[in-house]
Amino acid sequence: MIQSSTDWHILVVEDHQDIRQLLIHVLKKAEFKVSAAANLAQANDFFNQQKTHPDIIILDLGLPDGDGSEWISHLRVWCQVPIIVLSARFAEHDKIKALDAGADDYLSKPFSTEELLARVRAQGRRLNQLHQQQAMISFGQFRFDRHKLQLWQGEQLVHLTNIEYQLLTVLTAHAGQVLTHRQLLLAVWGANFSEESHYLRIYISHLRKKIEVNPTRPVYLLTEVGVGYRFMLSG
Amino acid sequence: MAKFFSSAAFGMSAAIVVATLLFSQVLSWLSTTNIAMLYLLMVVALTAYYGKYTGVISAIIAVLVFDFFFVEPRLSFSVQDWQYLITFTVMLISALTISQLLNALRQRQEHSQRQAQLNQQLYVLATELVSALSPHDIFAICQQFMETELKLKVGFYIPNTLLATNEHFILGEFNSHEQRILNTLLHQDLNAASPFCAEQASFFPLKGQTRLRGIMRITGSHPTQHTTLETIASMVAVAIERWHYIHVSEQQTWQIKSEQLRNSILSAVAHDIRTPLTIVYGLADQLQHELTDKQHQQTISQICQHSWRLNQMVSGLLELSKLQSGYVQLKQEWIPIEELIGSALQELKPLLNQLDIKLPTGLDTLVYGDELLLQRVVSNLLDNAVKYHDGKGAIKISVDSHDNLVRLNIANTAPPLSLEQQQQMFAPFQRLQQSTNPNGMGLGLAICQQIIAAHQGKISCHCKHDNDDNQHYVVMSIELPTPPQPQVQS
Repeated sequence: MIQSSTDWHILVVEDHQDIRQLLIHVLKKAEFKVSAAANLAQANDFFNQQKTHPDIIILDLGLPDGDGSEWISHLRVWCQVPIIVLSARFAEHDKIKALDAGADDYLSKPFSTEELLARVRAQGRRLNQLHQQQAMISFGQFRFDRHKLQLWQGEQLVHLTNIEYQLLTVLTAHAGQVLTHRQLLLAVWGANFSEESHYLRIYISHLRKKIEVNPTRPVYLLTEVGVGYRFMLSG
Repeated sequence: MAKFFSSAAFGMSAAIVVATLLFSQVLSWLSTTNIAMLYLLMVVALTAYYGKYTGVISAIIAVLVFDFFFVEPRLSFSVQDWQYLITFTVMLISALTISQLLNALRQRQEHSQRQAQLNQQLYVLATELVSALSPHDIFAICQQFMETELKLKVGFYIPNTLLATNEHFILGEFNSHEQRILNTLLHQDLNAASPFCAEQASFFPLKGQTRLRGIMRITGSHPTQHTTLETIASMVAVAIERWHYIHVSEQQTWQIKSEQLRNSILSAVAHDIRTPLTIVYGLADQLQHELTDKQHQQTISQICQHSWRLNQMVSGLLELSKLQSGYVQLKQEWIPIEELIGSALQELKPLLNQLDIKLPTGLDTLVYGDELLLQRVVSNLLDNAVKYHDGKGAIKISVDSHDNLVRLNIANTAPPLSLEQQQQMFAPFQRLQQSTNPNGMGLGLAICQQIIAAHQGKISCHCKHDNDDNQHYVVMSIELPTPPQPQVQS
């Protein structure tokens, strides 16, 4: 089932009334269905049968009635609803904790309308893609066959090492979404390497040399400072 | 003394008279040998009761009396049977030996009683010292003990370098010459320090766990044993050190408490400022999208820009105060320097549009540091380069690495700076006078300096003239110490 963007039901969980109003206003303007909760207790109500299940959750990390990251990991046990967390700029530790707990993306306060909508749409696209996954994915001049593990630049086959292929596969599977260092290390190298962040950084720089025109100013494989990486198909 | 002797003499005479009467009148049927034994018993009793001298005298008298009254011919000192001379000798030697032994025993008992009493006093002193609240109390307690119990005069000398409060504590007179000598002594090794005598005074070092804490001076004569005084000195040292450590831990507790208070105030302020800022920025940004009127759009875009910058400033202030508190924990990792430069370029993208930025090639060098903080440094330096760039040449970034040092230079064309300007640059709230761009509060470089210092690195500024393009450049460079590069298995 493919939903059009207007059908998405977004739940905003934010304790500060004015910020909640702002979020509701912006999202409604973009023609989403929006519900709001002021705390985790109210948010829990949306998972009861009486109310509609949200498609995307925007969750503030500084709620008065509990730790947002814990709430996410409880929810993740049974529910895959995309979650975007809101947190203060420079509070990277909180963001990483929430992302590792299962949040899908984050937004730093203060945020612009564009940033907010881009994040929500990226999650929405991912929701749809779950139902129509393809082996072939393309970005810029590149076509990446995830089934055969082949990367084509135009008509030219690009040589990637095994680890670079795995890294690119994981990144493109979560295109538009932030992945923490820990998540990438777990996915590509396994649990024994979850603290060896330099492996990841070095391979990312190798990969950038192969897919970016200017590796110092990347357009596809972006760094989220202190958090992880984000792959943008649009460049 | 005289009283004691008269009572001893009286007791001794009475005992001898009574014994002699008893032996001659009542027990006259006893043999002379047994009577000698009974005299011996009496001498032992007298020695036990009156002591050594009475014992010796009574032994001699007993021998004479025995000879006079009981040995034939009676009532005369002459002796018929010469064998009695042996009896007299044995009797005298036995009496003297026994009295000697008894006396030694009594002395030892007295000594141990004295020792027990002293120990009791020392114990009381120790309990009092433990409850003392300051070095002055400790001195007073010790002084009182020394004067009343040992009849000694005591002095203490603790210079201001040895305790946590940096105060000096002195009891008694120490002239400047003495103080100079003691100061040198007190800074010697703990194990080398030992008690010594000088100018009719004895000096005992107060030895703490890790170092000397002061000196105790004893004047006056008293047969008190040296070891007792050493014991007192070590008790005082323990008490002083205890006070010192209590003080140290109190200081630390206060420091931690005030740091916590400061952080909680800061984060409360930050939260309170950021929340309305988020709303102002968000609403303005939303309006920007909704308004079609060109003039209003410009106004709104200014509101956006300024509220964004306000947010940056609040963040900068917070960051600086956190860094200055010295409680920032670095999350050190290996980071390709290319990534640091790359994310700084990404962050400043809107500012860099038309600028020519010259990047070096082959930026594979890894640096060891906290990604977030180092990225802040590179961004701030780049931001500065853009701000103070005079619009002519390029912004040049270069990296060079030596054995265990990585240097990053960011240069922008600008008129040369004086040496004074180059040094002042890193103080907070400093902005260059000739700056035409008043953006920012001048916190950027102060933050950079704090971050680099936390990484044990160096940040500096110099000017140079590039002959290739004939331009003056201001170069900011950071140097980071780098441990051996990690191995990565493929």
